[in-house]
Amino acid sequence: MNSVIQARIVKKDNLSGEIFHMVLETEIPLQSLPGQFLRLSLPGILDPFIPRPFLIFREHGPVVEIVFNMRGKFTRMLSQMEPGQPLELHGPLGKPFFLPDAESYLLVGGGTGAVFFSRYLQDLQEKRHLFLLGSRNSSTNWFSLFYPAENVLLVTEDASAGLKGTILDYLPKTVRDFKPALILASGPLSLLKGIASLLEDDHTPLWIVLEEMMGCGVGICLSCAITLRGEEGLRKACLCREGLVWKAKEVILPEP
Amino acid sequence: MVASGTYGWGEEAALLLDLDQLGAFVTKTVTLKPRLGNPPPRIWETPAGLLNSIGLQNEGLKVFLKKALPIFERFRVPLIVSIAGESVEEYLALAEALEDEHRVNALEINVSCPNVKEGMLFGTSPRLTAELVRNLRRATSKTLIVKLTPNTGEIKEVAQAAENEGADALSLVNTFLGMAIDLRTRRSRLSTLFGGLSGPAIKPLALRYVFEVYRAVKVPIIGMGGITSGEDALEFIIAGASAIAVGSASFRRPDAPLQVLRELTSLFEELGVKSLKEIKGSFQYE
Repeated sequence: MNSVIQARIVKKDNLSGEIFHMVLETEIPLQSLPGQFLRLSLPGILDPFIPRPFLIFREHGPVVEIVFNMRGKFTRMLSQMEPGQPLELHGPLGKPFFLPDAESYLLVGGGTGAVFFSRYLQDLQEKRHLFLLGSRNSSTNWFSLFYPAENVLLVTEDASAGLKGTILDYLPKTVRDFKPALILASGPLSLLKGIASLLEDDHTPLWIVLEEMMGCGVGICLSCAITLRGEEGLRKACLCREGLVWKAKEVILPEP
Repeated sequence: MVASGTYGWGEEAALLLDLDQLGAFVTKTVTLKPRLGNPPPRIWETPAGLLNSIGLQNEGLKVFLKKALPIFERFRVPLIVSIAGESVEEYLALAEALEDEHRVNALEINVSCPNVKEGMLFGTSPRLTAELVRNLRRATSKTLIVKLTPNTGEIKEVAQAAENEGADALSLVNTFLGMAIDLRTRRSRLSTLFGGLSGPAIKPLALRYVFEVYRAVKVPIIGMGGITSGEDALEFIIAGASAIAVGSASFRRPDAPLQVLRELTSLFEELGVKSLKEIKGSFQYE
Protein backbone atom coordinates (compact mmCIF):
# COMPACT_ATOMS: atom_id res chain seq x y z
CA MET A 1 0.00 0.00 0.00
CA ASN A 2 3.01 2.30 -0.12
CA SER A 3 3.24 2.31 -3.88
CA VAL A 4 0.93 2.08 -6.86
CA ILE A 5 0.11 -0.92 -9.02
CA GLN A 6 -0.11 -0.56 -12.79
CA ALA A 7 -3.47 -1.63 -14.13
CA ARG A 8 -5.25 -1.78 -17.47
CA ILE A 9 -8.93 -1.53 -18.30
CA VAL A 10 -10.24 -4.85 -19.58
CA LYS A 11 -13.92 -4.05 -19.85
CA LYS A 12 -16.26 -1.15 -19.26
CA ASP A 13 -20.04 -1.35 -19.20
CA ASN A 14 -22.60 1.35 -18.72
CA LEU A 15 -24.98 -0.60 -16.49
CA SER A 16 -27.73 1.97 -16.45
CA GLY A 17 -27.95 5.74 -16.41
CA GLU A 18 -24.74 7.01 -14.91
CA ILE A 19 -23.66 3.75 -13.31
CA PHE A 20 -20.63 1.99 -14.74
CA HIS A 21 -19.05 -1.39 -14.16
CA MET A 22 -15.35 -1.62 -14.89
CA VAL A 23 -13.01 -4.60 -14.96
CA LEU A 24 -9.31 -3.96 -14.42
CA GLU A 25 -6.35 -6.23 -14.81
CA THR A 26 -3.51 -5.50 -12.42
CA GLU A 27 0.19 -6.11 -12.92
CA ILE A 28 0.29 -7.95 -9.58
CA PRO A 29 -2.75 -9.23 -7.65
CA LEU A 30 -4.20 -6.62 -5.31
CA GLN A 31 -5.04 -9.25 -2.68
CA SER A 32 -7.64 -7.19 -0.90
CA LEU A 33 -9.80 -8.47 1.93
CA PRO A 34 -13.53 -7.77 2.35
CA GLY A 35 -14.20 -4.22 3.47
CA GLN A 36 -11.09 -2.77 1.87
CA PHE A 37 -11.04 -0.22 -0.91
CA LEU A 38 -8.70 1.04 -3.62
CA ARG A 39 -7.84 4.36 -5.25
CA LEU A 40 -7.41 5.06 -8.93
CA SER A 41 -5.43 7.72 -10.72
CA LEU A 42 -4.49 8.47 -14.30
CA PRO A 43 -0.79 7.76 -14.92
CA GLY A 44 1.24 10.87 -15.71
CA ILE A 45 -1.78 13.17 -15.44
CA LEU A 46 -1.59 15.82 -12.73
CA ASP A 47 -5.16 17.04 -13.11
CA PRO A 48 -7.07 15.38 -11.48
CA PHE A 49 -4.23 15.13 -9.00
CA ILE A 50 -5.61 13.14 -6.09
CA PRO A 51 -6.56 9.51 -6.70
CA ARG A 52 -10.23 8.72 -6.11
CA PRO A 53 -11.38 6.01 -3.72
CA PHE A 54 -13.58 3.16 -4.97
CA LEU A 55 -15.24 0.26 -3.20
CA ILE A 56 -14.01 -3.07 -4.53
CA PHE A 57 -16.90 -4.87 -6.15
CA ARG A 58 -15.11 -8.15 -6.81
CA GLU A 59 -11.55 -9.42 -6.99
CA HIS A 60 -10.17 -12.66 -8.35
CA GLY A 61 -6.50 -13.16 -9.18
CA PRO A 62 -5.15 -10.14 -11.04
CA VAL A 63 -8.67 -8.94 -11.90
CA VAL A 64 -10.45 -6.24 -9.93
CA GLU A 65 -13.96 -4.98 -10.58
CA ILE A 66 -15.53 -1.70 -9.54
CA VAL A 67 -19.01 -0.23 -9.91
CA PHE A 68 -19.16 3.55 -9.85
CA ASN A 69 -21.50 6.44 -10.27
CA MET A 70 -20.40 9.15 -12.72
CA ARG A 71 -20.52 12.19 -10.48
CA GLY A 72 -17.54 14.47 -10.90
CA LYS A 73 -14.56 15.25 -13.09
CA PHE A 74 -12.63 12.07 -12.35
CA THR A 75 -15.51 9.61 -12.73
CA ARG A 76 -16.56 11.33 -15.96
CA MET A 77 -13.05 10.85 -17.36
CA LEU A 78 -13.05 7.26 -16.13
CA SER A 79 -16.39 6.57 -17.76
CA GLN A 80 -15.00 7.75 -21.10
CA MET A 81 -11.94 5.51 -20.99
CA GLU A 82 -11.73 2.41 -23.12
CA PRO A 83 -10.38 -1.13 -22.71
CA GLY A 84 -6.60 -1.23 -22.99
CA GLN A 85 -6.05 2.16 -21.34
CA PRO A 86 -3.76 2.26 -18.28
CA LEU A 87 -4.66 3.30 -14.75
CA GLU A 88 -2.67 3.48 -11.53
CA LEU A 89 -4.16 1.61 -8.64
CA HIS A 90 -3.37 2.25 -4.98
CA GLY A 91 -4.40 -0.37 -2.48
CA PRO A 92 -5.65 -2.41 -0.81
CA LEU A 93 -6.59 0.31 1.67
CA GLY A 94 -8.69 0.46 4.82
CA LYS A 95 -9.26 -2.05 7.56
CA PRO A 96 -10.67 -5.41 6.45
CA PHE A 97 -14.19 -6.03 7.73
CA PHE A 98 -15.68 -9.46 8.29
CA LEU A 99 -19.37 -9.78 9.07
CA PRO A 100 -19.76 -10.16 12.84
CA ASP A 101 -21.42 -13.46 13.65
CA ALA A 102 -25.19 -13.05 13.86
CA GLU A 103 -28.39 -15.01 13.28
CA SER A 104 -29.61 -12.75 10.52
CA TYR A 105 -28.56 -9.67 8.60
CA LEU A 106 -30.33 -6.69 7.11
CA LEU A 107 -28.18 -4.94 4.52
CA VAL A 108 -29.34 -1.46 3.68
CA GLY A 109 -27.79 0.12 0.62
CA GLY A 110 -28.35 3.41 -1.14
CA GLY A 111 -27.10 3.85 -4.71
CA THR A 112 -23.58 2.62 -5.37
CA GLY A 113 -23.05 2.32 -1.61
CA ALA A 114 -24.51 -1.16 -2.02
CA VAL A 115 -21.34 -2.19 -3.88
CA PHE A 116 -19.89 -2.75 -0.43
CA PHE A 117 -22.08 -5.83 0.14
CA SER A 118 -20.84 -7.80 -2.86
CA ARG A 119 -17.86 -9.19 -0.98
CA TYR A 120 -20.17 -10.83 1.56
CA LEU A 121 -22.56 -12.61 -0.80
CA GLN A 122 -20.99 -15.98 -0.14
CA ASP A 123 -21.01 -15.59 3.67
CA LEU A 124 -24.63 -14.50 3.51
CA GLN A 125 -25.79 -17.53 1.56
CA GLU A 126 -25.86 -19.64 4.70
CA LYS A 127 -27.60 -16.99 6.81
CA ARG A 128 -31.04 -15.47 6.87
CA HIS A 129 -30.60 -12.10 5.19
CA LEU A 130 -32.42 -9.35 3.39
CA PHE A 131 -31.21 -6.50 1.24
CA LEU A 132 -33.12 -3.23 1.41
CA LEU A 133 -31.82 -1.34 -1.60
CA GLY A 134 -32.86 2.04 -2.87
CA SER A 135 -32.20 4.29 -5.80
CA ARG A 136 -33.79 7.35 -7.35
CA ASN A 137 -35.27 5.50 -10.31
CA SER A 138 -34.89 2.36 -12.38
CA SER A 139 -32.06 3.93 -14.39
CA THR A 140 -29.87 3.90 -11.29
CA ASN A 141 -31.00 0.43 -10.29
CA TRP A 142 -27.94 -1.67 -10.98
CA PHE A 143 -28.52 -4.02 -8.07
CA SER A 144 -30.84 -6.39 -9.91
CA LEU A 145 -27.93 -7.41 -12.10
CA PHE A 146 -25.96 -8.77 -9.18
CA TYR A 147 -28.03 -9.39 -6.08
CA PRO A 148 -30.36 -12.42 -5.90
CA ALA A 149 -33.93 -11.11 -6.33
CA GLU A 150 -35.52 -13.33 -3.71
CA ASN A 151 -33.63 -11.56 -0.91
CA VAL A 152 -33.98 -8.02 -2.19
CA LEU A 153 -36.51 -5.40 -1.24
CA LEU A 154 -36.03 -2.76 -3.90
CA VAL A 155 -37.39 0.77 -3.62
CA THR A 156 -37.23 3.67 -6.07
CA GLU A 157 -38.49 7.19 -5.54
CA ASP A 158 -40.64 7.06 -8.71
CA ALA A 159 -41.70 3.39 -8.49
CA SER A 160 -39.99 2.69 -11.83
CA ALA A 161 -38.54 -0.43 -10.22
CA GLY A 162 -39.70 -2.15 -7.05
CA LEU A 163 -41.73 -0.29 -4.44
CA LYS A 164 -42.34 3.45 -4.50
CA GLY A 165 -40.56 5.51 -1.90
CA THR A 166 -37.26 5.81 -0.12
CA ILE A 167 -35.29 3.44 2.05
CA LEU A 168 -36.22 5.48 5.10
CA ASP A 169 -39.95 5.02 4.31
CA TYR A 170 -39.59 1.25 4.47
CA LEU A 171 -36.89 0.83 7.10
CA PRO A 172 -38.98 0.79 10.32
CA LYS A 173 -41.46 -1.76 8.96
CA THR A 174 -38.68 -3.92 7.49
CA VAL A 175 -36.87 -4.00 10.82
CA ARG A 176 -40.15 -4.86 12.64
CA ASP A 177 -41.07 -7.65 10.23
CA PHE A 178 -37.67 -9.14 9.45
CA LYS A 179 -36.22 -8.73 12.95
CA PRO A 180 -32.55 -8.73 11.92
CA ALA A 181 -29.87 -9.53 14.47
CA LEU A 182 -27.52 -7.07 12.77
CA ILE A 183 -27.90 -4.19 10.34
CA LEU A 184 -25.17 -3.02 7.97
CA ALA A 185 -25.84 0.17 6.04
CA SER A 186 -23.89 1.72 3.18
CA GLY A 187 -24.77 4.78 1.14
CA PRO A 188 -24.78 8.58 1.18
CA LEU A 189 -24.25 10.34 4.50
CA SER A 190 -27.79 11.75 4.51
CA LEU A 191 -29.17 8.20 4.26
CA LEU A 192 -26.91 6.92 7.04
CA LYS A 193 -27.92 9.81 9.26
CA GLY A 194 -31.57 9.06 8.56
CA ILE A 195 -31.11 5.38 9.37
CA ALA A 196 -29.22 6.12 12.58
CA SER A 197 -31.90 8.50 13.74
CA LEU A 198 -34.81 6.17 12.86
CA LEU A 199 -33.13 3.33 14.73
CA GLU A 200 -31.96 5.41 17.68
CA ASP A 201 -34.14 3.52 20.15
CA ASP A 202 -33.76 0.16 18.43
CA HIS A 203 -31.31 -2.24 20.03
CA THR A 204 -30.25 -4.05 16.89
CA PRO A 205 -26.52 -3.48 16.38
CA LEU A 206 -26.11 -1.01 13.51
CA TRP A 207 -22.90 -0.85 11.51
CA ILE A 208 -22.35 1.82 8.90
CA VAL A 209 -19.97 2.18 5.98
CA LEU A 210 -18.73 5.76 5.83
CA GLU A 211 -17.31 7.62 2.86
CA GLU A 212 -15.60 11.00 3.01
CA MET A 213 -13.40 13.06 0.73
CA MET A 214 -9.94 11.54 1.04
CA GLY A 215 -6.48 12.92 0.37
CA CYS A 216 -4.07 10.04 0.88
CA GLY A 217 -5.92 6.81 1.67
CA VAL A 218 -3.33 5.79 4.27
CA GLY A 219 -3.90 8.07 7.27
CA ILE A 220 -1.22 10.70 6.73
CA CYS A 221 -3.17 13.72 5.47
CA LEU A 222 -6.01 13.69 8.05
CA SER A 223 -8.52 14.95 5.48
CA CYS A 224 -11.08 12.22 6.18
CA ALA A 225 -10.92 12.42 9.97
CA ILE A 226 -14.19 11.61 11.71
CA THR A 227 -15.11 12.13 15.34
CA LEU A 228 -15.54 9.09 17.57
CA ARG A 229 -16.94 8.77 21.07
CA GLY A 230 -14.07 7.08 22.89
CA GLU A 231 -13.67 5.97 26.48
CA GLU A 232 -11.61 9.06 27.20
CA GLY A 233 -13.87 11.50 25.40
CA LEU A 234 -13.92 12.49 21.76
CA ARG A 235 -11.17 11.36 19.46
CA LYS A 236 -10.42 11.72 15.78
CA ALA A 237 -9.85 8.77 13.48
CA CYS A 238 -8.93 8.62 9.82
CA LEU A 239 -11.76 7.00 7.92
CA CYS A 240 -9.32 5.61 5.36
CA ARG A 241 -7.14 3.86 7.89
CA GLU A 242 -9.51 2.74 10.66
CA GLY A 243 -12.64 2.42 8.47
CA LEU A 244 -14.62 2.14 6.37
CA VAL A 245 -17.01 0.34 8.76
CA TRP A 246 -18.05 1.69 12.14
CA LYS A 247 -20.51 0.95 14.89
CA ALA A 248 -23.07 3.69 14.38
CA LYS A 249 -23.19 4.50 18.10
CA GLU A 250 -19.45 5.22 18.21
CA VAL A 251 -19.45 7.82 15.46
CA ILE A 252 -20.57 11.42 15.57
CA LEU A 253 -21.84 11.78 12.03
CA PRO A 254 -20.88 15.03 10.31
CA GLU A 255 -23.47 17.31 8.74
CA PRO A 256 -24.22 16.14 5.17
CA MET B 1 12.47 15.21 2.94
CA VAL B 2 8.77 15.02 3.55
CA ALA B 3 6.95 18.31 4.05
CA SER B 4 5.34 18.94 7.41
CA GLY B 5 1.68 18.01 7.60
CA THR B 6 1.84 15.54 4.75
CA TYR B 7 3.18 12.44 6.49
CA GLY B 8 1.81 12.36 10.02
CA TRP B 9 4.03 12.05 13.09
CA GLY B 10 5.85 8.82 12.32
CA GLU B 11 3.53 5.96 13.20
CA GLU B 12 1.96 5.63 9.75
CA ALA B 13 5.13 6.74 8.00
CA ALA B 14 7.15 3.90 9.51
CA LEU B 15 4.71 1.46 7.91
CA LEU B 16 4.87 3.15 4.52
CA LEU B 17 8.50 4.11 3.98
CA ASP B 18 11.98 3.10 4.97
CA LEU B 19 12.44 6.38 6.80
CA ASP B 20 16.21 6.07 6.71
CA GLN B 21 16.15 6.62 2.97
CA LEU B 22 14.91 10.16 3.54
CA GLY B 23 17.16 13.17 4.07
CA ALA B 24 14.98 14.08 7.03
CA PHE B 25 11.53 13.41 8.41
CA VAL B 26 9.46 16.47 9.28
CA THR B 27 6.50 15.78 11.55
CA LYS B 28 3.06 17.22 11.21
CA THR B 29 2.82 20.20 13.53
CA VAL B 30 2.70 19.51 17.25
CA THR B 31 0.96 21.96 19.58
CA LEU B 32 1.11 22.20 23.36
CA LYS B 33 -2.50 21.08 23.86
CA PRO B 34 -4.38 18.50 21.77
CA ARG B 35 -6.44 19.92 18.90
CA LEU B 36 -9.38 18.19 17.21
CA GLY B 37 -8.87 20.26 14.05
CA ASN B 38 -11.59 21.53 11.73
CA PRO B 39 -14.85 19.74 10.87
CA PRO B 40 -15.30 18.11 7.44
CA PRO B 41 -15.07 18.77 4.57
CA ARG B 42 -11.38 19.40 5.10
CA ILE B 43 -10.25 18.93 1.54
CA TRP B 44 -11.30 20.04 -1.92
CA GLU B 45 -9.50 19.35 -5.14
CA THR B 46 -8.93 22.18 -7.62
CA PRO B 47 -7.16 21.96 -11.00
CA ALA B 48 -3.85 20.20 -10.32
CA GLY B 49 -4.11 21.31 -6.73
CA LEU B 50 -5.56 20.65 -3.37
CA LEU B 51 -7.24 22.98 -0.90
CA ASN B 52 -7.02 21.75 2.66
CA SER B 53 -8.23 22.95 5.98
CA ILE B 54 -7.19 20.38 8.56
CA GLY B 55 -6.75 22.93 11.35
CA LEU B 56 -3.62 21.52 13.02
CA GLN B 57 -5.30 18.39 14.32
CA ASN B 58 -2.86 16.69 16.69
CA GLU B 59 -2.85 14.95 20.03
CA GLY B 60 -0.64 17.53 21.69
CA LEU B 61 2.94 17.51 22.96
CA LYS B 62 2.45 14.94 25.73
CA VAL B 63 1.08 12.24 23.46
CA PHE B 64 3.67 13.08 20.78
CA LEU B 65 6.50 12.49 23.24
CA LYS B 66 4.99 9.25 24.46
CA LYS B 67 3.62 7.75 21.28
CA ALA B 68 5.38 9.14 18.21
CA LEU B 69 8.89 10.04 19.32
CA PRO B 70 9.94 6.50 20.41
CA ILE B 71 9.25 5.26 16.86
CA PHE B 72 12.32 7.16 15.70
CA GLU B 73 14.61 5.19 18.01
CA ARG B 74 14.43 2.50 15.33
CA PHE B 75 15.67 4.85 12.63
CA ARG B 76 18.69 7.02 11.95
CA VAL B 77 16.84 9.58 9.85
CA PRO B 78 17.27 13.17 11.08
CA LEU B 79 14.06 14.17 12.82
CA ILE B 80 12.60 17.63 12.49
CA VAL B 81 9.65 18.40 14.75
CA SER B 82 7.25 21.05 13.50
CA ILE B 83 5.80 23.16 16.31
CA ALA B 84 3.16 25.87 16.49
CA GLY B 85 1.80 27.99 19.30
CA GLU B 86 -0.68 30.78 19.79
CA SER B 87 1.84 32.89 21.68
CA VAL B 88 5.60 33.24 22.07
CA GLU B 89 5.23 31.50 25.43
CA GLU B 90 3.62 28.45 23.84
CA TYR B 91 6.36 28.16 21.23
CA LEU B 92 8.94 28.44 24.00
CA ALA B 93 7.26 25.76 26.11
CA LEU B 94 7.35 23.41 23.12
CA ALA B 95 11.00 24.17 22.36
CA GLU B 96 11.99 23.69 25.99
CA ALA B 97 10.15 20.37 26.23
CA LEU B 98 11.95 19.10 23.14
CA GLU B 99 15.38 20.45 24.08
CA ASP B 100 16.50 17.34 25.97
CA GLU B 101 15.04 14.84 23.54
CA HIS B 102 18.15 13.40 21.92
CA ARG B 103 16.19 12.04 18.94
CA VAL B 104 15.02 15.50 17.89
CA ASN B 105 17.58 17.09 15.57
CA ALA B 106 15.76 20.24 14.62
CA LEU B 107 12.65 22.30 15.20
CA GLU B 108 10.64 23.67 12.33
CA ILE B 109 8.75 26.70 13.50
CA ASN B 110 5.34 26.78 11.88
CA VAL B 111 4.46 30.45 11.72
CA SER B 112 2.41 29.97 8.62
CA CYS B 113 -0.59 27.68 9.12
CA PRO B 114 -3.44 29.32 7.20
CA ASN B 115 -6.15 27.14 8.74
CA VAL B 116 -6.22 28.21 12.35
CA LYS B 117 -7.11 31.59 13.79
CA GLU B 118 -3.96 33.66 14.07
CA GLY B 119 -1.92 30.76 12.66
CA MET B 120 -0.24 33.01 10.12
CA LEU B 121 0.03 35.98 12.41
CA PHE B 122 3.73 35.57 13.22
CA GLY B 123 4.77 34.59 9.71
CA THR B 124 3.23 37.56 7.95
CA SER B 125 5.09 40.13 10.02
CA PRO B 126 8.88 40.61 10.02
CA ARG B 127 8.66 42.21 13.48
CA LEU B 128 6.71 39.36 15.10
CA THR B 129 8.87 36.73 13.39
CA ALA B 130 12.00 38.46 14.69
CA GLU B 131 10.64 38.53 18.23
CA LEU B 132 9.65 34.85 18.11
CA VAL B 133 12.92 33.62 16.61
CA ARG B 134 14.97 35.73 19.04
CA ASN B 135 13.21 34.07 21.98
CA LEU B 136 13.41 30.58 20.51
CA ARG B 137 17.09 30.97 19.68
CA ARG B 138 17.78 31.54 23.36
CA ALA B 139 15.62 28.58 24.37
CA THR B 140 16.96 25.89 22.08
CA SER B 141 20.29 24.50 20.94
CA LYS B 142 18.58 22.47 18.23
CA THR B 143 18.77 23.45 14.59
CA LEU B 144 16.11 26.11 14.14
CA ILE B 145 14.15 26.16 10.89
CA VAL B 146 11.46 28.74 10.16
CA LYS B 147 8.69 27.76 7.77
CA LEU B 148 7.58 30.74 5.76
CA THR B 149 4.15 31.60 4.45
CA PRO B 150 3.67 32.97 0.94
CA ASN B 151 0.58 34.80 2.21
CA THR B 152 2.44 38.04 2.90
CA GLY B 153 3.77 40.86 0.82
CA GLU B 154 6.95 40.80 2.88
CA ILE B 155 8.34 37.28 2.56
CA LYS B 156 11.89 38.55 1.96
CA GLU B 157 11.70 40.78 5.03
CA VAL B 158 10.29 37.92 7.14
CA ALA B 159 13.08 35.65 5.86
CA GLN B 160 15.74 38.23 6.71
CA ALA B 161 14.23 38.84 10.14
CA ALA B 162 14.41 35.10 10.88
CA GLU B 163 17.99 34.92 9.64
CA ASN B 164 19.10 37.95 11.64
CA GLU B 165 17.70 36.48 14.84
CA GLY B 166 19.55 33.22 14.44
CA ALA B 167 17.43 30.87 12.35
CA ASP B 168 19.63 28.15 10.88
CA ALA B 169 17.49 27.49 7.83
CA LEU B 170 14.23 28.44 6.15
CA SER B 171 11.48 26.23 4.77
CA LEU B 172 9.35 27.58 1.98
CA VAL B 173 6.62 27.67 1.10
CA ASN B 174 3.63 26.76 3.19
CA THR B 175 0.27 26.64 1.37
CA PHE B 176 -1.34 29.54 -0.45
CA LEU B 177 -4.59 30.79 1.00
CA GLY B 178 -7.40 29.99 -1.41
CA MET B 179 -11.09 29.23 -1.65
CA ALA B 180 -13.67 27.26 -3.62
CA ILE B 181 -17.39 27.88 -3.78
CA ASP B 182 -20.25 25.37 -4.07
CA LEU B 183 -22.50 26.94 -6.73
CA ARG B 184 -25.73 25.49 -5.37
CA THR B 185 -25.33 26.42 -1.72
CA ARG B 186 -23.04 29.40 -2.44
CA ARG B 187 -21.01 28.28 0.52
CA SER B 188 -17.39 27.29 0.85
CA ARG B 189 -16.46 23.82 -0.34
CA LEU B 190 -14.58 23.50 2.94
CA SER B 191 -15.92 23.78 6.46
CA THR B 192 -13.86 26.96 6.78
CA LEU B 193 -13.96 29.99 4.49
CA PHE B 194 -10.46 29.47 3.16
CA GLY B 195 -8.04 26.63 2.81
CA GLY B 196 -4.39 26.20 1.95
CA LEU B 197 -3.62 25.40 -1.68
CA SER B 198 -0.89 22.88 -2.45
CA GLY B 199 0.02 20.55 -5.30
CA PRO B 200 1.43 21.08 -8.81
CA ALA B 201 -0.78 24.17 -9.23
CA ILE B 202 1.47 26.17 -6.87
CA LYS B 203 4.84 25.00 -8.17
CA PRO B 204 5.69 28.06 -10.28
CA LEU B 205 4.68 30.37 -7.43
CA ALA B 206 6.69 28.45 -4.85
CA LEU B 207 9.71 28.37 -7.15
CA ARG B 208 9.63 32.13 -7.51
CA TYR B 209 9.56 32.60 -3.73
CA VAL B 210 12.48 30.23 -3.26
CA PHE B 211 14.49 32.16 -5.83
CA GLU B 212 13.63 35.55 -4.32
CA VAL B 213 14.38 34.47 -0.77
CA TYR B 214 17.60 32.77 -1.91
CA ARG B 215 18.81 36.12 -3.20
CA ALA B 216 17.90 37.81 0.08
CA VAL B 217 19.44 35.49 2.68
CA LYS B 218 22.52 33.34 3.32
CA VAL B 219 21.01 30.52 5.36
CA PRO B 220 20.06 27.30 3.56
CA ILE B 221 16.58 26.94 2.10
CA ILE B 222 14.39 23.85 2.12
CA GLY B 223 12.33 24.28 -1.03
CA MET B 224 8.83 22.87 -1.47
CA GLY B 225 5.56 23.48 -3.23
CA GLY B 226 4.03 21.12 -5.77
CA ILE B 227 7.08 18.94 -6.37
CA THR B 228 6.09 15.63 -7.98
CA SER B 229 9.21 14.65 -9.94
CA GLY B 230 12.98 14.80 -10.02
CA GLU B 231 12.73 17.55 -12.63
CA ASP B 232 10.59 19.66 -10.32
CA ALA B 233 13.07 19.10 -7.50
CA LEU B 234 16.01 20.16 -9.66
CA GLU B 235 14.25 23.39 -10.60
CA PHE B 236 14.02 24.27 -6.90
CA ILE B 237 17.69 23.44 -6.40
CA ILE B 238 18.75 25.60 -9.35
CA ALA B 239 16.59 28.39 -7.91
CA GLY B 240 18.55 28.13 -4.65
CA ALA B 241 17.18 25.33 -2.46
CA SER B 242 19.73 23.28 -0.49
CA ALA B 243 17.16 20.59 0.22
CA ILE B 244 13.74 19.82 -1.10
CA ALA B 245 10.60 18.47 0.49
CA VAL B 246 7.75 16.55 -1.10
CA GLY B 247 4.26 17.28 0.19
CA SER B 248 0.95 16.61 -1.51
CA ALA B 249 2.56 14.19 -3.99
CA SER B 250 2.71 11.68 -1.13
CA PHE B 251 -1.09 11.72 -1.14
CA ARG B 252 -1.00 10.44 -4.70
CA ARG B 253 1.45 7.69 -3.83
CA PRO B 254 3.09 7.32 -0.42
CA ASP B 255 6.48 6.48 -1.92
CA ALA B 256 6.56 9.80 -3.83
CA PRO B 257 9.44 11.28 -1.76
CA LEU B 258 11.67 8.30 -2.58
CA GLN B 259 10.55 8.30 -6.19
CA VAL B 260 11.48 11.99 -6.51
CA LEU B 261 14.85 11.22 -4.93
CA ARG B 262 15.51 8.38 -7.38
CA GLU B 263 14.56 10.57 -10.33
CA LEU B 264 16.74 13.40 -9.04
CA THR B 265 19.71 11.05 -8.68
CA SER B 266 19.43 9.83 -12.26
CA LEU B 267 18.89 13.40 -13.45
CA PHE B 268 22.19 14.38 -11.79
CA GLU B 269 23.89 11.54 -13.65
CA GLU B 270 22.24 12.45 -16.93
CA LEU B 271 23.29 16.10 -16.66
CA GLY B 272 26.75 15.24 -15.33
CA VAL B 273 26.11 17.01 -12.02
CA LYS B 274 28.39 15.64 -9.32
CA SER B 275 26.96 17.29 -6.23
CA LEU B 276 24.02 19.34 -5.15
CA LYS B 277 26.38 22.12 -4.11
CA GLU B 278 27.63 22.43 -7.66
CA ILE B 279 24.21 23.16 -9.11
CA LYS B 280 22.49 24.88 -6.17
CA GLY B 281 21.50 28.44 -6.94
CA SER B 282 23.00 28.23 -10.41
CA PHE B 283 20.03 29.89 -12.07
CA GLN B 284 21.26 32.09 -14.93
CA TYR B 285 19.47 35.39 -15.11
CA GLU B 286 21.78 38.15 -16.04
